[in-house]
Amino acid sequence: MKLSWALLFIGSIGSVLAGLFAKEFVISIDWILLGSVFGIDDLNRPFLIVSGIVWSIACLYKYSSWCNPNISNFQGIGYFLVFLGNLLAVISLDVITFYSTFALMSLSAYFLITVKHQKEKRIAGRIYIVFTIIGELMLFAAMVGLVHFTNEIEFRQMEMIEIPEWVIALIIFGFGIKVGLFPLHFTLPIIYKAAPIANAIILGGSAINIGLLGWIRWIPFSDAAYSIGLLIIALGLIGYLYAILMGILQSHPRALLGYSSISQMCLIAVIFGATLYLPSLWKIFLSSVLLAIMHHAFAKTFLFASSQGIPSHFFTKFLWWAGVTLAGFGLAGAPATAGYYAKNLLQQSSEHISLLNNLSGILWISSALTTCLLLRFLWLTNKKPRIKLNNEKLFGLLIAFGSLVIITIYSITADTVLSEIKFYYFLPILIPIVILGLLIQLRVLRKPVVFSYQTTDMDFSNVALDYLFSTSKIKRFFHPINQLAINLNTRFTAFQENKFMSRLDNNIEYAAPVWSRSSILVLIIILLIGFSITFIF
Amino acid sequence: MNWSNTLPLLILASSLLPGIIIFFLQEKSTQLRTFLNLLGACIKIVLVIALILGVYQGYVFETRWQLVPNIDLVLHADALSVLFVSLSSILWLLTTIYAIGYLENSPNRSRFFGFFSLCVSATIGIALAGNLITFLIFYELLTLTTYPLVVHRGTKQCQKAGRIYLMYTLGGGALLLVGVVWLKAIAGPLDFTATGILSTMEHLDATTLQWIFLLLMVGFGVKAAIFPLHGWLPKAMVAPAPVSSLLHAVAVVKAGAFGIVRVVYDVYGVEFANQLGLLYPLALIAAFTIIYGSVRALFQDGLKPRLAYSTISQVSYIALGTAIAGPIATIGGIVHLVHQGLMKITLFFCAGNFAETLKLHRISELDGVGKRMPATMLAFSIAALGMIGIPPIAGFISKWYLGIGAAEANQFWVLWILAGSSALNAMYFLPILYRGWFKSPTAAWQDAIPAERFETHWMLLFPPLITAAFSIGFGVLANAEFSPLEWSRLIATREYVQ
Repeated sequence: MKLSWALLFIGSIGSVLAGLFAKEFVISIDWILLGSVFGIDDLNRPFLIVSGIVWSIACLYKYSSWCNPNISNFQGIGYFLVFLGNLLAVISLDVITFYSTFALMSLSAYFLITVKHQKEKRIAGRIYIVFTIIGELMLFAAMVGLVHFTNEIEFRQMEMIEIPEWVIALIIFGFGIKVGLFPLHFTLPIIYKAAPIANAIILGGSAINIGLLGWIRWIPFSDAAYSIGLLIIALGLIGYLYAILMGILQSHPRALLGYSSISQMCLIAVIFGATLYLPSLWKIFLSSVLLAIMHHAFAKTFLFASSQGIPSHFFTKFLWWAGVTLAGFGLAGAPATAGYYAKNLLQQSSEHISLLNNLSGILWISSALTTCLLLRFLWLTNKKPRIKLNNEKLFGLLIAFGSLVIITIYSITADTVLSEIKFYYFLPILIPIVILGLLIQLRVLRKPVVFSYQTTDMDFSNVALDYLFSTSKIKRFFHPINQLAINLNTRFTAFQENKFMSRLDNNIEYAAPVWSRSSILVLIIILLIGFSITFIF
Repeated sequence: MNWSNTLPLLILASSLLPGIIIFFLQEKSTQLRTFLNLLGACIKIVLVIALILGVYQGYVFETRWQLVPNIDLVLHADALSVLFVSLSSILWLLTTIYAIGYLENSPNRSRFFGFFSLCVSATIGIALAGNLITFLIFYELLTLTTYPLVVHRGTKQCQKAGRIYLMYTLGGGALLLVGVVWLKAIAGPLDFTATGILSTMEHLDATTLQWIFLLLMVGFGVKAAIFPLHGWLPKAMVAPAPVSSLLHAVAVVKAGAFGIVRVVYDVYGVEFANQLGLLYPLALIAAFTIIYGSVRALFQDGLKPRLAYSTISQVSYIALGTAIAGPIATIGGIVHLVHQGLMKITLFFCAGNFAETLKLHRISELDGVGKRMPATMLAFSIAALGMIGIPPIAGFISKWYLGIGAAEANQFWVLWILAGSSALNAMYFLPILYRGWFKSPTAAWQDAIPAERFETHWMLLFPPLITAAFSIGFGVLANAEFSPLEWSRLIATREYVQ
C-alpha cells in the first residue's frame, strides 16, 4: 500500500512542477478516442498547479489510513482513477477528451464518498451519482451541439462562431452540478459531509475547479448570450446570498464549508454571466477570475484540512489560527486578499452592465454574512476536542498554509487593485467579529446553537431530491407503462394459446429432449422445401 | 485455386463442415468435438483476417452459383459484410470456448455444438450474402438452426419459449419472403450494391415500393426485436447462457438489424428511401423501442430478462442510426452493431457465470457478489457502463456518432432519446453494480463451481474478460487503424459516394 501512496504523492508533486515550469506545448494523439489533444497553456496552468497542491495535501492527510490494511481497497483505486481523470481533464484540449476524463473523475469520485457501510454515506453517494449522471447527460447533449455548430472538437479553434443558447445553457448547468450553481447546488454539502477529510479536500479543492475549467474551456466567450447571461447573473446572485444563509444554519463544519463553496462559486458564476452578457469583458476578467479560483481552492483546502478540530500543540495551534484567519478574510472578500478580486470584478462589471448597478449594498451584506459563516465554522470546530496532528498532517497543513500565503502575497503585488483599495471595506468584516466577541464576553452566547434537526434538510431543494434519488419513486413514475405492457402481453399470450396454440398442440407431439440424428433429417427436409419454394418463384 | 472466388465459400465452410461432422460424433468423444470446434473457429479467423486485408485494399471476393436461371446464390464480401463476419467469427471462437466450459458434463452436447456451428454458418451466410435471395435463405436457415438451441434443455418452459420463438420468426420470415419475391418480380436480380439499386429504376411505382419496404421491415423487425415484434426475445431467455449470448450479440438479433441496414443502404439506397418518406417512421419506431425496452428492463428482477429488454432497446440504436439518414449517423449505427455485440455478450457471459458458479439468477440475489467473483463483476461493470455510454468505453463512441449524426441531419429530438435512454440504462444497470460491489452478501454462497485458482472455471472466466477488454479497447483506440469505427467510416464513405 505504501508504494502506491508514494506514487500518487510523486504524481501530484510532479503536476505542480509541470504547472510551474513546463513550457507551453500541444500534442495531438490521433489514435486515442476520436483524436485527443493534450497540452499546457496559460488557461490550464493555474489549474494544474492547484490540482497538484491539493492532491499532495490530500495524500498527506490520507497517509495514516492508507497504510491501514483494514481500509477498503476501493478507496485506493478510487484515488488513482480520480487523480487520473482530474489531471487529464486539466490538460485535455479537445472537447471529447475533456468529457471523457471529466466523466472518469466524476464517476470514480463515488468511491471517495461512500467509504463506509453507513446508511448516510450510501445515501450521499447515491444522490451524488444520480446528479453526476444527469450532469453527464446534459454535457453530452451540449457537446453534440457544440461540435455540430462549431464543426471543431479542439477548444482553441472554437472561437467566433454562433452557438445557440440552449447549448450554452446545457454547458452551464451540466458543469453547474459539479460546481454547485444554484439551484443545482445541494449535492455539495451532502457529499462533503459524508466524505472523510482527505476526500473532501479533493472534492472541494480540486474536483470543483474542473467544473469551472469546463465553463472556461467549453464556452467560447465570443458571442453574447443575453438571456442565458441574465439568467446566470440572477441565479448566481440568489445562490450567493442563499448559500451563505444556509451555511450559517449548518451544524457540521464540512457541510458549512460546502455552502461556503456554493456561495463563492455562485459569485464566480455571476461573473461568467456578466461575460456572457457582454463578451468583451472576458479578456479583461480572465486573469482575475483565475486568481479568484486559485484563491478559493487554497482557502477551501486549508479550511477543510483544519475542520478536524483545533490542534493542541502551540505551533500547530498558531498555524491553524493564522491560516483560518487568512482564509476567512479572503473568502469574506477583505481588501488586499485574493478574495477581493472576485468582488472587485463584480464592481467592474457593474460599470458596464446597467442591470448590476447598486451592487455595493449586496456586497457589503454578503461580506458581513460570510464573516458570520466563518465565525460559525470557528465555533463549531472549537466545540470539538483538541486534536494532536501527526507529522504528515502537519506537513499537509503547512503546505496548505504556504500556498495560501503565497497566493495572497501574489495578489497583493501582482495587480493594480491595491491602489484602489478602500479600507472601509474592512468594516463589514470587522463589525460582526466585534459584535460576536462582545456577545460572548457578555455571556449572552455560550454554546454554538445546534439546530436539532438535520440542517441540510432545510435546504428547499431536498424535497425535490427526495423524489429524484429514490429508485422506487422513479419506478412508480414509470409503473403505468410497465403495467400496460404486461397487460397487453398477457392478453396476447392468452390469445395465442387459446386460439392458435391449442390447435397446434393437439396435432404435434413435442419431444424435444430426444432430438437426435432424426432431427437433422427433419431439418434437411425443411431446408429442401425452403429451397424448392425459392426455385418455384 | 482462385482466392477471390473461393474465400467466402471457405469462410462459410469452416463452420459448416465441423458442425455437420459433430452431429455424427459419439456423445462421449468430447476431445474430438472440442478440437473440431476450435479448429474451425481458428481457421475461420485466419481466413477472415485475409478477407479484411483483401477488402481493405479493394479486392472483390465473390462466389456466384446459379440456382436457376435468373436466380443466383451469391456470397460477396464488401466492407459491411466484412465487419459482421469478423464480429461473428471472433465471438464464435469465444462463445465456443465458453460453451465448452458451460456445458461440461451436460447431456446432448453433440446436438448442441452441431446446431451451434450451423447457426454460426447461417450468420456468416447472412453477412456474406450478396443479394436478397441468398440473404433470405440464410435468414430462414438461422431461424431453424437456433430453435433447437433455444429448446436445448427440453423443459416445458423451454418448449413453450421455443414455440413462441418459432411463431414469431417464421411469421416474420413468411412476410419477408413475400416482400422479397414481390421485389424480385418487379425489379429483377437484387444484388446488393452500395448506394442502392432501386433508385436507378425509374419505372417502379413509389407506393408499391413503400408496401414492400413495410413487409421487409416487419420481416427483419421480428428478429431485430423492434416494438411491437419483440415479444419472443425475453421468453427465449430460457436458453443456456452461451446461446443467449450468441443470440443477443451476433446471431439472431443482429441478423435482423443487419437486414434492415442492408435493405436501406444496399437495396433501396439511403437517399432514395428517404425520398420515399420511409425512414422517418422507422426512426420514430426505433426511438420508441429504445425507450420502451429500457423502461421494461427497469422492472425485471431476473438478470437475464433485464439484459434481454436492454437488448431490445440497444439494437434499435442500429435501426435509428440507419433511419436518421446521414453519413455520420450511419457510422454510429453500423459501429454499434459491433460495439453492442461485444458489450452485450460480455454481460450475458457474466450472467451465465453467476448462474453457473453460484446459482444466482435474480438481481436481488447478487448482493456482494463482487467479493466472491471480482473479475466477472469487473467485466460486467465495464460492459454495463459502456451500455450507459460512459466514455471511454465503446458504447460512448456509437452514442456520440448517433448524436452528432442526428444533429447533422437536423433531427435534434434524437438527442433527447439518447439522453433518456442513457438515463434509463443508468437506472437499471447501476443498482446491479451497487449490489455487486458495495452490499454485503446476505447468505453463504452455494458454490457449484469451487473457487480454486480462478473464481470459476477458466473457460467461463476468460471470454467475458476478453470481450470486456475489447469494449474498452475499441473505445479508447477508436481512431486507430482497423478499429470498428474506422471500418464503419470506410463503409459510410462507400455508401454515400455517388
